[in-house]
Amino acid sequence: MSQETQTTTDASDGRSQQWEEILQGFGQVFQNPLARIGGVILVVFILMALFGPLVAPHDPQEHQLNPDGSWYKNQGPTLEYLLGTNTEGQAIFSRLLYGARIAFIAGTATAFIVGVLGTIAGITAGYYGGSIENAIMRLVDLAYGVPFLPFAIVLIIVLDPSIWNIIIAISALLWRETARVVRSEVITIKDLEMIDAARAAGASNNRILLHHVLPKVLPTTVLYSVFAIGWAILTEAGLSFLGLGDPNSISWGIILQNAYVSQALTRGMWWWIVPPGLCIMGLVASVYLISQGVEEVVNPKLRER
Amino acid sequence: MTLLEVNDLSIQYDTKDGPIQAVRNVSFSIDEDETFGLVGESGCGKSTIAKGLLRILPPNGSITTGNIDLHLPDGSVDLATADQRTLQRVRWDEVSMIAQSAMNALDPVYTIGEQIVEAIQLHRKTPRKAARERVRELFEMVGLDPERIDSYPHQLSGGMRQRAMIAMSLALEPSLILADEPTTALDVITQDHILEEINALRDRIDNSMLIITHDISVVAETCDRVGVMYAGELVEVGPIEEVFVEPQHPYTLGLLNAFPTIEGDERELITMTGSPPDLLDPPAGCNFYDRCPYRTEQCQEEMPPLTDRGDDQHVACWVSGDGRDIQAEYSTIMDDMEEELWQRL
Repeated sequence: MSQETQTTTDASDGRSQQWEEILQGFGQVFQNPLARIGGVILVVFILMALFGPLVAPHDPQEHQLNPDGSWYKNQGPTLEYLLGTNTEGQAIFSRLLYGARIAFIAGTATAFIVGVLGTIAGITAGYYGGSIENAIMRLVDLAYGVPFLPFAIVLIIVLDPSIWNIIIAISALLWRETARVVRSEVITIKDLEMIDAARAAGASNNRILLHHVLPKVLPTTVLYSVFAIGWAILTEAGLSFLGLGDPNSISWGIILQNAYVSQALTRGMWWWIVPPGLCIMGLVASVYLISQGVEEVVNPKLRER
Repeated sequence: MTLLEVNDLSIQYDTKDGPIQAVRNVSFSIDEDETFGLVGESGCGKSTIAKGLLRILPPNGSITTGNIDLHLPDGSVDLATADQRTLQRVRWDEVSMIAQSAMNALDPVYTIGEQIVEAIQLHRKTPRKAARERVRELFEMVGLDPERIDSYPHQLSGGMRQRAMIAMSLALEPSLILADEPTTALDVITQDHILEEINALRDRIDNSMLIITHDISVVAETCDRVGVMYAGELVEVGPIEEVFVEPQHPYTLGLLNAFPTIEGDERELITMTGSPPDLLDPPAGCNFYDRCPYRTEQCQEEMPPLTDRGDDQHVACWVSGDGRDIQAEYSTIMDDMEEELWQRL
């Protein structure tokens, strides 16, 4: 709990204090040692996504050439090419750096869509109840009945493979979890006396939802959004590996797919397979480690004493 | 002048076992500058009336008959039929509420100052700074340190929270304040402080109050007039001097006798036996029939109407309506009942 008992003495406002507390809550996430480790790993990947393309030594799509004009291909790591080259002579290290961006776009965009969509659906269903709730929750049931990967594959084939379509495909199913959990929370919140009190004070439904219900489900929303980040990165990699990725973009999944198609495994080209695999694993793991910290903030019972 | 006129109000809850008549044909009025008390045991419909007045009944509750006329300087509003827009305007601006437990009525996520500012700004175009100034003023009025404006509800004690609730209810100077069990969650000392505060404020600002409680001592301490409710019906209404000194309904009498007095003779407290009737299937006659020591055949068959007994006292009882002095008979009847009970044992 916050130890803040000091009060602002000037009549101006109490808002700066609120911001301070929001920051404090953010700090609480990283009190968990695992979340701290996750945070460090994540920062590395964030730097990679932000500055990777700037520091990349080679163009990721360019075929590196030997002095005689032939492709500099299938070469192991050297100082010039840190992770060697693939069958087309592209520098794998540079491709890896570029791939971080796609992973982040897929992760954050999905988390955002899932968070917003799931929360709106959950709040609406939980608060209004009746036939509105019925309609939304049956839709959730429907979404639960759809097998994840086949659905994503079909949708992407229909819509053309692109990173945004992958995001849409993942979000279209992942919102179901957020919606369900948020709804169940809203059902308990809406019966609290303070909601009656707010109504008695003349607050409209929208106001109650925005000011009194939303802040209480927000931690849950954040938690499930963080889960969605991991899911999205994994699914994007998986779909790309299956050949459903955007062929013009460079993602870790696509690097792996190229490697697989070019039989990198039988050729023993570990520098082509292991680094993207580690990147996917590391990023997803870092997100899950952080989600542990978030979960402790949302559900203090999990905290160790 | 009359501020609030409740006429023939009935409120029903739909449950899976059928409709429950929580409030049946209740009529009462509150004058300007008057404090009216509603007493009765748990489940008699007191809080339902308060929620009905503000139209914040749960989704399965509805007003089935009657009207709730609020007479304002710029015309009357029937709260029973008013649309949402009118209701949102009237709520807090004209009719505010001190909720049962301040602990649960305050949002833990916001500071108390923030919540009162929000209520003010919702109804008045007030700059934030002025609204905060108003909150400080209100805190001072209810005996709360203005420095606590940026405290969260969990940082305050129960009494302080209740004071904050009272401050909030006064924020817009409403004509009517509904206090639903304002002191129930507090210990007796704090309860006394809060009641003093309510009384003092009543003297300083002229608005009317409706105090809902199961504690007749609270009514005695604060109210001008009182209505006694039993099983969804109003059984006795009148000025507290009349009702408390000369109760004419056996239930009122029972309530008063179940309470100790500090002064006067030492006497045994007499508790009422039995429990209120099932409101899913209310009896045809008087609701109190099963528990009434004076019951007659007429009571079982016909529901007694609320009749005028003079001095602004209205009572729904066949027995005392015939001129019988139920109060004088009370102790002998109770003694007889007790003896009978002992013999059966």
